[in-house]
Amino acid sequence: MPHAAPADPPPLDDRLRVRRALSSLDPLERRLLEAAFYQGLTHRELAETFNLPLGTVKSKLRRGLIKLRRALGEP
Amino acid sequence: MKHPHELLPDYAMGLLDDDARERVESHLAHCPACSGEVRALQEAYYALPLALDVPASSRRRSRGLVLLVAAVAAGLLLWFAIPAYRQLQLEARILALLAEPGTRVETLRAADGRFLGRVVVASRGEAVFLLAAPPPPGQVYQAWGHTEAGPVSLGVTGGRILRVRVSGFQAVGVSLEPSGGSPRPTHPLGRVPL
Repeated sequence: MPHAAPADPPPLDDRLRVRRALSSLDPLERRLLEAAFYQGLTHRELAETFNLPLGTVKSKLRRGLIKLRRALGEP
Repeated sequence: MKHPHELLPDYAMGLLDDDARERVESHLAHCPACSGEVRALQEAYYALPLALDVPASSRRRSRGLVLLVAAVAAGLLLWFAIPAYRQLQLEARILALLAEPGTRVETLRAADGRFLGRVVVASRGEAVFLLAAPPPPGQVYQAWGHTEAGPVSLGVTGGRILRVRVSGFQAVGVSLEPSGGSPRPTHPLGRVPL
Protein backbone atom coordinates (compact mmCIF):
# COMPACT_ATOMS: atom_id res chain seq x y z
CA MET A 1 0.00 0.00 0.00
CA PRO A 2 1.40 3.44 -0.86
CA HIS A 3 2.25 5.71 2.03
CA ALA A 4 -0.20 8.41 2.98
CA ALA A 5 0.51 11.82 1.52
CA PRO A 6 1.87 14.40 3.95
CA ALA A 7 -0.86 16.41 5.65
CA ASP A 8 -2.24 19.38 3.72
CA PRO A 9 -2.10 22.89 5.12
CA PRO A 10 -5.08 23.70 7.36
CA PRO A 11 -8.27 23.49 5.28
CA LEU A 12 -9.34 27.05 5.99
CA ASP A 13 -6.11 28.41 4.48
CA ASP A 14 -6.57 26.12 1.52
CA ARG A 15 -10.10 27.30 0.96
CA LEU A 16 -9.08 30.94 1.26
CA ARG A 17 -6.27 30.37 -1.23
CA VAL A 18 -8.62 28.80 -3.78
CA ARG A 19 -11.21 31.52 -3.33
CA ARG A 20 -8.56 34.18 -3.91
CA ALA A 21 -7.31 32.35 -6.97
CA LEU A 22 -10.83 32.11 -8.37
CA SER A 23 -11.27 35.84 -7.98
CA SER A 24 -8.62 36.30 -10.71
CA LEU A 25 -11.02 34.71 -13.22
CA ASP A 26 -13.72 36.62 -14.99
CA PRO A 27 -17.22 35.60 -13.85
CA LEU A 28 -18.06 33.72 -17.05
CA GLU A 29 -14.84 31.72 -16.93
CA ARG A 30 -15.65 30.74 -13.38
CA ARG A 31 -19.25 29.78 -14.11
CA LEU A 32 -18.19 27.67 -17.10
CA LEU A 33 -15.53 25.88 -15.05
CA GLU A 34 -17.99 25.15 -12.27
CA ALA A 35 -20.65 23.88 -14.68
CA ALA A 36 -18.09 21.61 -16.35
CA PHE A 37 -16.88 20.34 -12.98
CA TYR A 38 -20.12 19.82 -11.09
CA GLN A 39 -22.47 18.93 -13.90
CA GLY A 40 -19.99 17.15 -16.14
CA LEU A 41 -21.21 19.08 -19.19
CA THR A 42 -19.34 18.81 -22.51
CA HIS A 43 -18.28 21.84 -24.58
CA ARG A 44 -21.39 21.49 -26.72
CA GLU A 45 -23.72 21.19 -23.71
CA LEU A 46 -22.07 24.20 -22.08
CA ALA A 47 -22.52 26.21 -25.29
CA GLU A 48 -26.25 25.36 -25.28
CA THR A 49 -26.71 25.97 -21.56
CA PHE A 50 -24.94 29.33 -21.62
CA ASN A 51 -26.16 30.25 -25.10
CA LEU A 52 -22.62 30.96 -26.29
CA PRO A 53 -20.65 30.04 -29.43
CA LEU A 54 -18.75 26.76 -29.07
CA GLY A 55 -15.41 28.53 -29.70
CA THR A 56 -16.08 30.99 -26.87
CA VAL A 57 -16.87 28.17 -24.45
CA LYS A 58 -13.69 26.32 -25.38
CA SER A 59 -11.43 29.34 -25.09
CA LYS A 60 -13.01 30.66 -21.87
CA LEU A 61 -12.80 27.28 -20.15
CA ARG A 62 -9.21 26.75 -21.22
CA ARG A 63 -8.18 30.26 -20.18
CA GLY A 64 -10.08 29.95 -16.90
CA LEU A 65 -8.30 26.75 -15.92
CA ILE A 66 -4.88 28.12 -16.90
CA LYS A 67 -5.51 31.26 -14.84
CA LEU A 68 -6.63 29.19 -11.86
CA ARG A 69 -3.60 26.94 -12.15
CA ARG A 70 -1.26 29.97 -12.28
CA ALA A 71 -2.96 31.68 -9.38
CA LEU A 72 -2.64 28.54 -7.28
CA GLY A 73 1.04 28.26 -8.20
CA GLU A 74 3.20 25.20 -8.56
CA PRO A 75 2.09 22.24 -6.43
CA MET B 1 4.23 14.97 -31.64
CA LYS B 2 5.33 18.38 -30.46
CA HIS B 3 4.18 19.44 -27.01
CA PRO B 4 0.35 19.54 -27.15
CA HIS B 5 0.15 22.57 -24.83
CA GLU B 6 -3.18 23.76 -26.20
CA LEU B 7 -4.82 20.37 -25.48
CA LEU B 8 -3.62 19.95 -21.90
CA PRO B 9 -6.32 22.02 -20.14
CA ASP B 10 -9.10 20.14 -21.96
CA TYR B 11 -7.33 16.87 -21.21
CA ALA B 12 -7.12 17.77 -17.52
CA MET B 13 -10.87 18.51 -17.49
CA GLY B 14 -11.71 15.29 -19.33
CA LEU B 15 -13.15 17.18 -22.30
CA LEU B 16 -11.17 15.71 -25.20
CA ASP B 17 -12.63 13.21 -27.66
CA ASP B 18 -11.08 9.73 -27.70
CA ASP B 19 -8.67 10.43 -30.58
CA ALA B 20 -7.23 13.59 -29.06
CA ARG B 21 -7.09 11.99 -25.61
CA GLU B 22 -5.10 9.03 -26.91
CA ARG B 23 -2.70 11.35 -28.73
CA VAL B 24 -2.14 13.36 -25.55
CA GLU B 25 -1.68 10.23 -23.46
CA SER B 26 0.93 8.77 -25.79
CA HIS B 27 2.81 12.08 -25.54
CA LEU B 28 2.47 12.24 -21.73
CA ALA B 29 3.96 8.75 -21.43
CA HIS B 30 7.37 10.13 -22.41
CA CYS B 31 7.13 13.85 -21.54
CA PRO B 32 7.64 14.69 -17.84
CA ALA B 33 7.16 18.43 -18.51
CA CYS B 34 3.67 18.00 -19.99
CA SER B 35 2.80 15.37 -17.35
CA GLY B 36 3.71 17.89 -14.66
CA GLU B 37 1.58 20.54 -16.32
CA VAL B 38 -1.40 18.15 -16.50
CA ARG B 39 -0.95 17.34 -12.82
CA ALA B 40 -0.95 21.04 -11.91
CA LEU B 41 -4.02 21.70 -14.08
CA GLN B 42 -5.88 18.79 -12.50
CA GLU B 43 -4.98 19.98 -9.02
CA ALA B 44 -6.37 23.40 -9.90
CA TYR B 45 -9.56 21.93 -11.40
CA TYR B 46 -10.13 19.67 -8.42
CA ALA B 47 -9.56 22.56 -6.05
CA LEU B 48 -12.91 24.04 -7.12
CA PRO B 49 -14.92 22.45 -4.26
CA LEU B 50 -12.59 24.14 -1.79
CA ALA B 51 -14.05 27.50 -2.80
CA LEU B 52 -17.61 26.49 -1.97
CA ASP B 53 -19.04 28.15 1.06
CA VAL B 54 -22.31 29.38 2.42
CA PRO B 55 -22.50 33.09 3.34
CA ALA B 56 -22.12 33.60 7.09
CA SER B 57 -25.61 35.09 7.40
CA SER B 58 -27.40 32.19 5.69
CA ARG B 59 -25.18 29.65 7.41
CA ARG B 60 -26.84 30.28 10.75
CA ARG B 61 -30.33 30.18 9.30
CA SER B 62 -29.78 27.08 7.20
CA ARG B 63 -27.83 25.21 9.84
CA GLY B 64 -30.83 23.33 11.24
CA LEU B 65 -32.01 22.36 7.79
CA VAL B 66 -28.54 21.27 6.75
CA LEU B 67 -28.27 19.08 9.84
CA LEU B 68 -31.71 17.60 9.24
CA VAL B 69 -30.93 16.87 5.59
CA ALA B 70 -27.56 15.44 6.57
CA ALA B 71 -29.12 13.21 9.23
CA VAL B 72 -31.77 11.91 6.83
CA ALA B 73 -29.18 11.35 4.12
CA ALA B 74 -26.84 9.56 6.51
CA GLY B 75 -29.66 7.36 7.74
CA LEU B 76 -31.08 6.43 4.36
CA LEU B 77 -27.91 6.16 2.37
CA LEU B 78 -25.13 4.32 4.08
CA TRP B 79 -22.95 4.70 1.04
CA PHE B 80 -23.57 5.10 -2.64
CA ALA B 81 -21.88 6.31 -5.77
CA ILE B 82 -23.28 9.42 -7.38
CA PRO B 83 -23.59 8.77 -11.11
CA ALA B 84 -21.25 10.90 -13.25
CA TYR B 85 -23.10 13.82 -14.86
CA ARG B 86 -25.54 14.11 -11.98
CA GLN B 87 -23.33 16.17 -9.80
CA LEU B 88 -25.58 19.03 -8.81
CA GLN B 89 -26.50 17.05 -5.71
CA LEU B 90 -22.80 16.62 -5.12
CA GLU B 91 -22.23 20.36 -5.07
CA ALA B 92 -25.02 20.75 -2.52
CA ARG B 93 -23.63 17.86 -0.49
CA ILE B 94 -20.06 19.15 -0.42
CA LEU B 95 -21.38 22.58 0.47
CA ALA B 96 -23.27 21.07 3.37
CA LEU B 97 -20.18 19.15 4.50
CA LEU B 98 -17.95 22.22 4.28
CA ALA B 99 -20.43 24.17 6.39
CA GLU B 100 -19.88 21.67 9.20
CA PRO B 101 -17.13 22.37 11.70
CA GLY B 102 -14.16 20.03 11.38
CA THR B 103 -14.62 19.15 7.70
CA ARG B 104 -11.32 19.01 5.87
CA VAL B 105 -10.18 18.43 2.31
CA GLU B 106 -7.29 16.02 1.84
CA THR B 107 -5.26 15.45 -1.30
CA LEU B 108 -5.06 11.89 -2.56
CA ARG B 109 -1.70 11.01 -4.11
CA ALA B 110 -0.13 7.87 -5.50
CA ALA B 111 3.11 6.58 -3.97
CA ASP B 112 5.05 8.40 -6.73
CA GLY B 113 3.38 11.70 -5.83
CA ARG B 114 1.00 11.69 -8.79
CA PHE B 115 -2.19 13.63 -8.07
CA LEU B 116 -5.19 11.27 -7.89
CA GLY B 117 -7.91 13.54 -6.58
CA ARG B 118 -9.26 14.90 -3.33
CA VAL B 119 -11.22 13.57 -0.41
CA VAL B 120 -13.64 15.78 1.51
CA VAL B 121 -13.77 14.32 5.03
CA ALA B 122 -16.45 15.42 7.48
CA SER B 123 -15.78 14.97 11.18
CA ARG B 124 -19.15 13.21 11.43
CA GLY B 125 -17.77 10.32 9.42
CA GLU B 126 -18.75 10.93 5.84
CA ALA B 127 -16.29 11.30 2.99
CA VAL B 128 -16.56 12.16 -0.68
CA PHE B 129 -13.82 11.00 -3.05
CA LEU B 130 -13.34 13.26 -6.09
CA LEU B 131 -11.09 11.41 -8.50
CA ALA B 132 -9.22 13.24 -11.25
CA ALA B 133 -10.05 10.79 -14.04
CA PRO B 134 -12.64 8.08 -14.62
CA PRO B 135 -11.33 4.51 -14.21
CA PRO B 136 -10.10 2.72 -17.35
CA PRO B 137 -12.80 0.76 -19.23
CA GLY B 138 -13.82 -2.44 -17.44
CA GLN B 139 -12.44 -1.22 -14.12
CA VAL B 140 -13.87 0.60 -11.11
CA TYR B 141 -12.59 2.66 -8.23
CA GLN B 142 -13.15 0.96 -4.88
CA ALA B 143 -12.95 2.84 -1.58
CA TRP B 144 -11.52 1.17 1.52
CA GLY B 145 -11.58 1.88 5.21
CA HIS B 146 -8.35 0.79 6.86
CA THR B 147 -8.34 -0.78 10.32
CA GLU B 148 -5.73 -2.76 12.23
CA ALA B 149 -7.56 -5.89 11.12
CA GLY B 150 -7.24 -4.92 7.45
CA PRO B 151 -9.17 -3.06 4.79
CA VAL B 152 -12.99 -2.94 4.65
CA SER B 153 -14.71 -2.23 1.33
CA LEU B 154 -16.77 0.98 1.37
CA GLY B 155 -18.15 0.95 -2.15
CA VAL B 156 -17.27 1.09 -5.84
CA THR B 157 -17.85 3.50 -8.69
CA GLY B 158 -17.27 3.45 -12.44
CA GLY B 159 -17.23 7.26 -12.34
CA ARG B 160 -15.12 9.87 -10.61
CA ILE B 161 -17.16 10.42 -7.47
CA LEU B 162 -17.63 8.13 -4.49
CA ARG B 163 -19.42 9.01 -1.31
CA VAL B 164 -18.81 6.77 1.70
CA ARG B 165 -19.23 6.41 5.47
CA VAL B 166 -15.86 6.42 7.19
CA SER B 167 -16.48 5.98 10.93
CA GLY B 168 -13.97 4.00 12.94
CA PHE B 169 -11.13 3.79 10.42
CA GLN B 170 -7.51 4.90 10.72
CA ALA B 171 -7.35 5.82 7.04
CA VAL B 172 -9.41 5.71 3.88
CA GLY B 173 -8.02 4.80 0.51
CA VAL B 174 -8.96 4.00 -3.02
CA SER B 175 -7.89 1.23 -5.37
CA LEU B 176 -8.45 0.26 -8.98
CA GLU B 177 -10.32 -3.02 -9.33
CA PRO B 178 -12.00 -5.17 -11.98
CA SER B 179 -15.62 -4.26 -12.62
CA GLY B 180 -17.75 -5.19 -9.60
CA GLY B 181 -14.97 -4.67 -7.08
CA SER B 182 -12.74 -7.07 -5.13
CA PRO B 183 -12.85 -8.55 -1.60
CA ARG B 184 -9.43 -6.98 -0.95
CA PRO B 185 -7.58 -4.17 -2.72
CA THR B 186 -5.56 -5.60 -5.63
CA HIS B 187 -4.26 -2.34 -7.13
CA PRO B 188 -4.15 0.27 -4.35
CA LEU B 189 -3.75 3.86 -5.56
CA GLY B 190 -3.50 5.96 -2.43
CA ARG B 191 -4.92 6.73 0.99
CA VAL B 192 -5.37 9.55 3.46
CA PRO B 193 -5.23 9.28 7.28
CA LEU B 194 -8.37 10.08 9.27
